[in-house]
Amino acid sequence: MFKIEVTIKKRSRELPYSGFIIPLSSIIISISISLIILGLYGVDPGKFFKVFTTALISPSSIRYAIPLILSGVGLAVAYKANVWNIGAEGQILAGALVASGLALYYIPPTMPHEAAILLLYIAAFLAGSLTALIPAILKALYNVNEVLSTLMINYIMMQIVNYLVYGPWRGKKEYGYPRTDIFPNNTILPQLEIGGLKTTINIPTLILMIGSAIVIYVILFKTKWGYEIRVYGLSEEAARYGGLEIWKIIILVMVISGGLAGLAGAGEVLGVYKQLIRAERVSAGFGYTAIIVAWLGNLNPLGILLSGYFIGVLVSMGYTLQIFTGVPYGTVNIFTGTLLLTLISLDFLSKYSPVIRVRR
Amino acid sequence: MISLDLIIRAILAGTPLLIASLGEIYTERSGVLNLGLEGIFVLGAAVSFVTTVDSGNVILGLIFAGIAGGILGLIHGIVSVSFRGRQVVSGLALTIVGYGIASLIGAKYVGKPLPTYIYIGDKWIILLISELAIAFLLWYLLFKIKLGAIIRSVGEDPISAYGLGVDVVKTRILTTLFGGFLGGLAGGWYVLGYIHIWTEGTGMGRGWIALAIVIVSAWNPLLAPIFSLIFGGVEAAIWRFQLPPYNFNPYLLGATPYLTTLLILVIFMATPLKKYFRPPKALGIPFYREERTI
Amino acid sequence: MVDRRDFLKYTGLGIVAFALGAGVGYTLKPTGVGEGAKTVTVTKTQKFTETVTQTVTGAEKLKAAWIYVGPIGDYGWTHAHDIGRKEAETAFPWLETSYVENIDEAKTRGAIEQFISEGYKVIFTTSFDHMNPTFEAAKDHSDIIFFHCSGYKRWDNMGTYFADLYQVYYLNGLMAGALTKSNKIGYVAAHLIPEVIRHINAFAIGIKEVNPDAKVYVIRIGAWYAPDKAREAAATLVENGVDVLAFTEDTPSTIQFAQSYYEDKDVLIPVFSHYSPMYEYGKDVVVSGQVVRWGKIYTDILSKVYSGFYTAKNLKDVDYWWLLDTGAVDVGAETYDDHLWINSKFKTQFDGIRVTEKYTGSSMSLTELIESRYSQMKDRNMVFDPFTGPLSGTWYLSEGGTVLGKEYSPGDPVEIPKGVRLGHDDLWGMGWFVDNVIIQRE
Repeated sequence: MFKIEVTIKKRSRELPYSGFIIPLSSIIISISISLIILGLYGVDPGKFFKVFTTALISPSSIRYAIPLILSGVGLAVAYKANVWNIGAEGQILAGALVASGLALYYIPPTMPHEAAILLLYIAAFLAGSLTALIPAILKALYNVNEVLSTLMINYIMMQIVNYLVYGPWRGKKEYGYPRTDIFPNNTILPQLEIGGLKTTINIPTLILMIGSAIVIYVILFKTKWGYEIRVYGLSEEAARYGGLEIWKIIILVMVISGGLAGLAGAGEVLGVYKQLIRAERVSAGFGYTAIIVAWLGNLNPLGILLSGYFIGVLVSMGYTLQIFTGVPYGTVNIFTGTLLLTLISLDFLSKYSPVIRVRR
Repeated sequence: MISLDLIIRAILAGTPLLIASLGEIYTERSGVLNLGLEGIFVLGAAVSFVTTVDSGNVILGLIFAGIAGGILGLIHGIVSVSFRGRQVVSGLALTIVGYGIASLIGAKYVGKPLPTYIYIGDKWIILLISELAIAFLLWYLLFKIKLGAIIRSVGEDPISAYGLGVDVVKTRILTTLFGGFLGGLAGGWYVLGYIHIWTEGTGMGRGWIALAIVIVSAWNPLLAPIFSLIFGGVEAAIWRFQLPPYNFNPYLLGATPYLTTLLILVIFMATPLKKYFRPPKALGIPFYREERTI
Repeated sequence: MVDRRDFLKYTGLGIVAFALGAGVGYTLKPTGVGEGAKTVTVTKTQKFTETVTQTVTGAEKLKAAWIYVGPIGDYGWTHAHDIGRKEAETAFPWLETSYVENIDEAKTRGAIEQFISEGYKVIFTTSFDHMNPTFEAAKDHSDIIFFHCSGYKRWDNMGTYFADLYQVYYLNGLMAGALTKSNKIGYVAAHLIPEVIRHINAFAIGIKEVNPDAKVYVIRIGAWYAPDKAREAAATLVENGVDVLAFTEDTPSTIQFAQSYYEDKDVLIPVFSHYSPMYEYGKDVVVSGQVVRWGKIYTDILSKVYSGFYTAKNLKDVDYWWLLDTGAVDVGAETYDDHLWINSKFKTQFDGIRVTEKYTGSSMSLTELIESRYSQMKDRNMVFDPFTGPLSGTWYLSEGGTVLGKEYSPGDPVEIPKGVRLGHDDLWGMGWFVDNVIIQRE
């Protein structure tokens, strides 16, 4: 009888370039795992790569990347501080909901386009922030676990949006269908045109996305605030010892991450759907996918630009995969899920080295 | 006000929620938060359906659903306990993987009728009694014998438990495995014992409700049946409330389980009740030692 | 330095205040904002029955793509469309087809773009869900021909088509009215949009003709494709005393429920099949149902596109609204070729029921009534239409609307005088329920 004994030793220093090597090798490993699974299912890998390369240059990949990156950057701020905001889904919905309500009922049709859009973005940011502020305050005051509270708020927001589109906000011109009317023209975001063809990429949110990634990068790595956030994230004790006011950090990171998710929500309804639709479809799980984006980008806003684009490619690939191979869209989830699992496992292996001994 | 048919429907809808939440109570009592429960439930639903359509055997369907859930639970255990990966990330990743595998394995079975299934019908009272018995048994195991004490010590204070010679890693992995098994079984029961049909997306959202039940039950198996019944009733009410004598819009009602959970969570943490009803102290915190054996 | 607890508490108070304010503001919000109350699309209803078959050899292949809302394995709506697609593909050697399943409104635009980049020239979108994205795409791609099923938006290069089942539902209603003992008939509805409202009403009108005491109870499930929800809704209806079921949902789930209820409890819940022939899912419980032969419409459209009769410039007024007389729809549940098929188990029962024809006053068996109504509606001249007064009901849809040129808002009583028949627009925008339908109020 053999006895396998695994001992784990902390490496004296992290593996070099692990910030790049880990995500890259995770991608490779999860592609391989997914190819094996798809292969078992009779999908030709050639087709898989063809679909993949088509998606790499498709504008719809950018369209999906926009909400993913915006919320992902926000989440990264929270995760850097070790605050587990998994409520991006609800915060996206809050942004979408407030933007829709204002666009439909409050913004006068005479208001200039730019002013209306600016107002809607600000409102959506505030809506997302407020949604995130509730769990933040509960955590700061009573130490309520933010994972559980943000998760619950996601579902509360979903139900509120559904209540509105099935009830009081249901469109007057939608023949009883559960969605609001199309927004007035002065509140709809302009879309990017490539070669004379309109795409579903809306320009203002695209700019906001790039801008927020850069701003957050600067805040996180070049300012005192960012330093405090990172210190708190590394060790609560160290932060307390250093005299940091922890409650401020919790509130700050939640407000930022909720607000950015709120912007993403506004972008979806004002720029893509032009009306508020059922909750499951407004955000379609982007709030959860953004968590993957944040980790895959190593919680670095610039890395998230890349990882968000990559996951955007995957999302749009899911649809084409369905067209080409008949494999259900949901299969892409296997890929993103394994990606995340390998990522955090490799992260461990880069810091620790397992020693395997076989003894008799 | 509340009709008997609604109560029966609540019991039927609440059963899978109860099974999943009982498993998760064990997982969380040992200090592991398994957000993968949602994916495990959905995968269990798909696996039970595929297995039962192919084999014509309900028991086999439930067992395979449990095994599939157990495997995902085990992965969560290895990644988050052995590899000290972040529990939230690992759990969410598993949820996504569970969704994906479910839609892939079920794709070719969509629309096929179940050859056989579990029919409760008038025997709901038996179902209710056995649920209560199982909940009591699991409560007894957790609070009255040594095994339960070990599990709880690992979730409260793993370092002291380790000092007393408890294998923290092994305990946590085993409870996560157990929680995963019950989660998969719950998904299987949802299809075979309640809904009797499967399509892509069947069972989505139930895992989160089960997580909510764990919280409002204060991590106590004895309270879980009550809240499973209530939350199951809310699910049933979405249909029932469209008919007389109720006749009102059910969509806002759907938010009540989550709102209740949030409120109860705050009450547990912010009032003197905290002494009795609070999450396990080490919930979500990885057990950390520089050198150890897995 | 602000005290931490104070800060948090004030912020908390602020949030509560904001929420309250928003709530109050919301309730006080001005209602009825928005331009023009409604957009009624009035178009010529086309009734082509002759099929232009043209075989051009050596010419380029025509590539047509279908976008489906559910899986083709749903054995309902999408399945029926896919049968139609295959029929067209078999009929025309010059046709190349492709399809994509499970596309909801969020995915529609992407799927369309994908097909266009693959060189597809004709795109069929087959759900009301797809309407807005299809319309947007049509405006952006002026060289591609779009046909959208069940919607009302058209463009130079976007036509609409629909095979409507209200006459068939009426005939099913005649049967349902005779079958109920509890006088409660259940209807599982996907969405309450005019199409479904029209079907529920036609069903209820048929029921009332043979059984004035019976009521139709409706549960809305909020999705076209949701077999799990349909099953729960059906179970809820039956638990509340309903003993006959009909539905608008894209799968045989309701039928499977009735069949298993029959096997487990030995209680017969007769049910009507929808869109695809679903008899084999419930041989003991399926009475009859609605069958759609989309192939008739698809071959017609595609042959006209191929021959150049339809181009990307002249579709603005092309709206197919095909009824029983075209052969695109029929009464049955056994095969796609059914012509007034009724399960023999129930037909013998109908043979023994005596009814009075409401116009002639003559006494006949229920089977004879059904057969005579069937042939009356099969007639090109539409000798009979279920939506003929006297009818009374209540306006339901929140947007309000018109019947026979008169405006109605939610809750208003709707009266159709004796002998008056509703026209295309009244049927198309139907937003009111006849009075033997029990519906959750808005």
